[in-house]
Amino acid sequence: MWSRFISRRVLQLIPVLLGVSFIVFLTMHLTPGDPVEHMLGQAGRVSQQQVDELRSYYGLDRSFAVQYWVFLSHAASGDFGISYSHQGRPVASIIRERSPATIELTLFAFLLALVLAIPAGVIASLRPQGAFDRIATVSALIGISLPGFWLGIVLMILFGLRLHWLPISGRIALGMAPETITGLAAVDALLTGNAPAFWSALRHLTLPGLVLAAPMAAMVMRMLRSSMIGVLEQDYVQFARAKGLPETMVVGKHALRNALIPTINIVALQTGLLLSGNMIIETVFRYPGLGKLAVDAIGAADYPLVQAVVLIYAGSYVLLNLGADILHAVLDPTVRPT
Amino acid sequence: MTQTLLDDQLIGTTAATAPGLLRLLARNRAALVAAAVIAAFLLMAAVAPMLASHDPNQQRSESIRVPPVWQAGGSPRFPLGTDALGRDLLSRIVYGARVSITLGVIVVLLTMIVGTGLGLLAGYFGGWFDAFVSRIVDVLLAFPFLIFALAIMAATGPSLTALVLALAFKGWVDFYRVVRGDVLAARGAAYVTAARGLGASTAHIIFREILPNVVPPIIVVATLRMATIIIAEASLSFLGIGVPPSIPAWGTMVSDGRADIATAWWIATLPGLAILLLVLSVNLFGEGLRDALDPRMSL
Amino acid sequence: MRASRSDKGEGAFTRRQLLLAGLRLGAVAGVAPGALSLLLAGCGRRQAPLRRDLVQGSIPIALDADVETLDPAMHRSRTVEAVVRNVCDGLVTRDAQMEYVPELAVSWKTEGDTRWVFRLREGVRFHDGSPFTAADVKFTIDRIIGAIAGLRPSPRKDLLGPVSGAEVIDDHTVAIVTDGPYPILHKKLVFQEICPKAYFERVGPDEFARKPIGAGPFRLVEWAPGERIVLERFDQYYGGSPDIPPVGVPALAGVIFMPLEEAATRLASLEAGDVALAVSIPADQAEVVENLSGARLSVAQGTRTHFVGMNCRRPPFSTRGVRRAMQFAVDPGTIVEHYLLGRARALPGMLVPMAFGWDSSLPEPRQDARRARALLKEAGYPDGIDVVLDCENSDKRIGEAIAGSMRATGVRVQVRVWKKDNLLNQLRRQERELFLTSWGNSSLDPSGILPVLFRSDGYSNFFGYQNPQVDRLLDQADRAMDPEARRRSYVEVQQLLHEDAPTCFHLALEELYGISNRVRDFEARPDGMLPMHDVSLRA
Repeated sequence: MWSRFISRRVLQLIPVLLGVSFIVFLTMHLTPGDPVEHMLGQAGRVSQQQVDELRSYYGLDRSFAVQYWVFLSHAASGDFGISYSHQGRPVASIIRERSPATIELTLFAFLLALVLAIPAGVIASLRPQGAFDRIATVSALIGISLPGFWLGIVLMILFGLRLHWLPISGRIALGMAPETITGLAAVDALLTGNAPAFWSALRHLTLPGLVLAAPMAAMVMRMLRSSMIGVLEQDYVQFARAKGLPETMVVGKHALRNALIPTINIVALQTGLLLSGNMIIETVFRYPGLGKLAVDAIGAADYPLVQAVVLIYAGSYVLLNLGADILHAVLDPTVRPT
Repeated sequence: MTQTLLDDQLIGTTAATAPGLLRLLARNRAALVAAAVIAAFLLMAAVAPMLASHDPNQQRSESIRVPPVWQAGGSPRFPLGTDALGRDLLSRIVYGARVSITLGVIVVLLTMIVGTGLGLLAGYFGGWFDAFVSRIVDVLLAFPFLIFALAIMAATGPSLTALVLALAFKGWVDFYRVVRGDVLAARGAAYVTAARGLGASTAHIIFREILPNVVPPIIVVATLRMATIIIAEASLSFLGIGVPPSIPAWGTMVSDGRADIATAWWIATLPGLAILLLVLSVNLFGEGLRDALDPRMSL
Repeated sequence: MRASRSDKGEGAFTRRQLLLAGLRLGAVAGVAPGALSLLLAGCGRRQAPLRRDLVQGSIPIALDADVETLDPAMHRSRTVEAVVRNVCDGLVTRDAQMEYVPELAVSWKTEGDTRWVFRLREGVRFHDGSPFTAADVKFTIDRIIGAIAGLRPSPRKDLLGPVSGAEVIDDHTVAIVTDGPYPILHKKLVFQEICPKAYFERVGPDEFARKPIGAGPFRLVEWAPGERIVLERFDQYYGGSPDIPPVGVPALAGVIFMPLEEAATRLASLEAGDVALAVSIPADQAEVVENLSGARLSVAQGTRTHFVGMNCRRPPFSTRGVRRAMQFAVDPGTIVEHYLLGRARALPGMLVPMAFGWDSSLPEPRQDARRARALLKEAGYPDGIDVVLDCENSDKRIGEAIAGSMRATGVRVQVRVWKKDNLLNQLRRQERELFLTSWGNSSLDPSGILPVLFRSDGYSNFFGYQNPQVDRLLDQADRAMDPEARRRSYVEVQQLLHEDAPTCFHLALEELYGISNRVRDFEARPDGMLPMHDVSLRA
């Protein structure tokens, strides 16, 4: 039962990824810009022969269909080609270099959002329309109304340039980078027992992470609060109270567990948005991750690099949803696949 | 970018009457305030030329980076200060409202029509059409909005049409889902069966019977989508691929002010505040609408 | 709503069920991205943390752009060159006054018009200990001109010039053969750094781009893309060019380059003392740096010319009178003083004063609204003209300032902004009528900027400008081995260009660097290079 469900969903991944890659390929090819022009930049006595040489080397002189087919067949075996804007360096290598930063930021934002949203949602639901609830609701509303790029700039000005509390660029203070094991600075610092590096990494993650997490925290909090309020009215909760169970157990063990179920979908949805919000945040903070890489690559008409990044984003999104569906099914027997 | 939650919540509608709606709304004071703010922005956008005391594109080389009036060095002539080219910030913000609101309305209308149309058809007829559109929706949702927008704008250069397309690209999905869900639910409803029994044509059933019931959630979705679109357009303008620079737009202003954040903080901060205020009001109002039209939809 | 659990009275799940579910979940949702991240993350490339003494004895430098490769032959970026120049030396280099001095070459002479024989320095080692010989020079040249089969074509080929090949004469003598007389080969060799043949062949191009070695004063320790490039002192360095004292091993323990693309961040880092050198300070922040107690402002004349060009093939600018009117349409004073805070210089033509062959007799640019209007009227536009000025994102502010300045003379301009590469593409296809762009000419020789822009068949002739006389003069200058003859030709070209006016407004921006007071013996350079060989840090 499970294996069929999962394999069916995983198979559905493929047409989605194909569709996404096709759209990107098409759009990029409609771009009048020529990646070779970018490579040559402000070239001097460049001859048409030199241009043609480069175009032929990168396979740009072939038809759209041929190029797409070449891309697909190579991608299937894990070869994503070479980057134009990185002077022919392999795409896989470039992505490998930059993805730890994005993974770390996304993970941090994800955890931060949950750490902020879940307790807030629970506490708010305990006393609806109470003081805490009102503050939380208003904050959440503001959270989803904030333009991310603006919040980033405001926080940069306030906490970075005025108060000097937090750094506004980079991943870690100079010279403090721990030994790379996973590539995630904070995790590596923990793994090697390097406390100062850990705090430095965390401090650098704070501003971009906060901005990235804000909308997700807001939505999750609202959803959880509403869900909890509904659950707390249910019979079995009253029953548990009547049985004399302590309030924390009632809330924590019974109510919360059930209230979390509809929240999972929101979490999945929002995490997907973390991936795309990522690009703007990384551009605002000049954070050296995949998002910034993608934005720069599109500007340089670097098809292979853009393709690869898009596939990663799309793939992550689909996997995320799959995970959410599974978690949902696991926690709620009523929606299990039969 | 935010996306409002709508899926699991929309399991049916109550056909609200106009007076009933107003009465419900009036009870929600926050929504009323929000409506007032929105009206103020609309007014501002409409009468911008009369309201703004300066030409928003007028450069003044002798008044570069003037602080807002409440700071040292500020002047009542430029209440919110000037930017790096000496342009009055208040005037630019007022004019910027035009861009945001106009673009927002156009995109929302476009996506509403497309999404509603597809939703009606898919919901009513089902079958391969429904499955086909659902596939497309899956692909679209997996697609990072920004990449598509960047690619389109890179392909076509600075063009308002391309901007609208880029913004509308994914936006219709919310309408589609809501309408489709409602139509699916309505298909088995009594009034539809009755209508069919009376010999009504399919078109009549869809447009005369089902559609009116679907209108309230569409309105809610439209309002909430407006908020998202305003932020999306501002984000694109911020990245330099939105509105052309000769038209004052809030996102562009924040981007322009970025180089001066260490000294002239107001250039980047104040236009963003306008975005926040408008979007907040639209969200508040939209949620008020949602509460009034169908409390089951609310959070 | 959810099914009620009142029959059980407990939570619906036992610990075991939850554990199993968690495992299943982990198997799919967790492992997949987890595996992905492992694949993507640092696996295979464990990097040790930097040594304390290296960090403390190094000079931290804030760059304004990131580097996309570290292969000296595979880039067109000034930033990459600034970094790589510390790792790989070249045959020739320039000192702080932009004078050409020998580096890895000891001397050179020409045999006839097309053969240059270089005597190479002896006793030089690459970072892996292997000796520097003529074979490495030949390999470097061959790679750039594309004479090695199977290797990626180099985008620096045209920068080198019409070189047809290199010959190894003996271990320390190499001949470079050119396609016809090429008087400035030695100047162009400044931009090509020598790569070790054996190492390159051993590791391959991809690894070389990540971890190059050379014969320079510093060796590469770490490149964390987007974050930092760390170099450390090479203790077996041969000493460097004898014409640039001091000669010897570097005083610094190392160099740490950090790309900080946000100007505010560079400034903040300089203020906080996190970096000792910040490049590319914006004009309006210059005062802030001057007021810092721990740092100073260092200024250099830039080698890049910003200019407003016109399409000579299409109305209204196909009429010369209109173009001449445009020469009086912009007020350089306002632009330079108000918008650029005096950190620039308006020029009468494309060359900067430091360039070889600069014509000082050309009149200083000025705005003359009456004359502009008169010229426009004469050319058939009594009511002025309405045009669109296309520029790239980074020049937006200057573009808008220019547009505003022109309004007073009857030239009504709307500014349109493009991404840089988009704009250059269109300009090459001569699709734009009025445009603001820039051209760098680090060689400070007119051959680096005039032919490519103004020859009838120039690759970047954005203007559609065709003048056979100019073509002839440029060819003459290209081939004349006598500097005086070259100078004469170039002066005449500048005069002709001034009359024909395919361009109407030219600016050379100053390069502003913020340098900590701890740094000794470094000032901003016009070519934007950052040689740290002779620099030291006060404690």
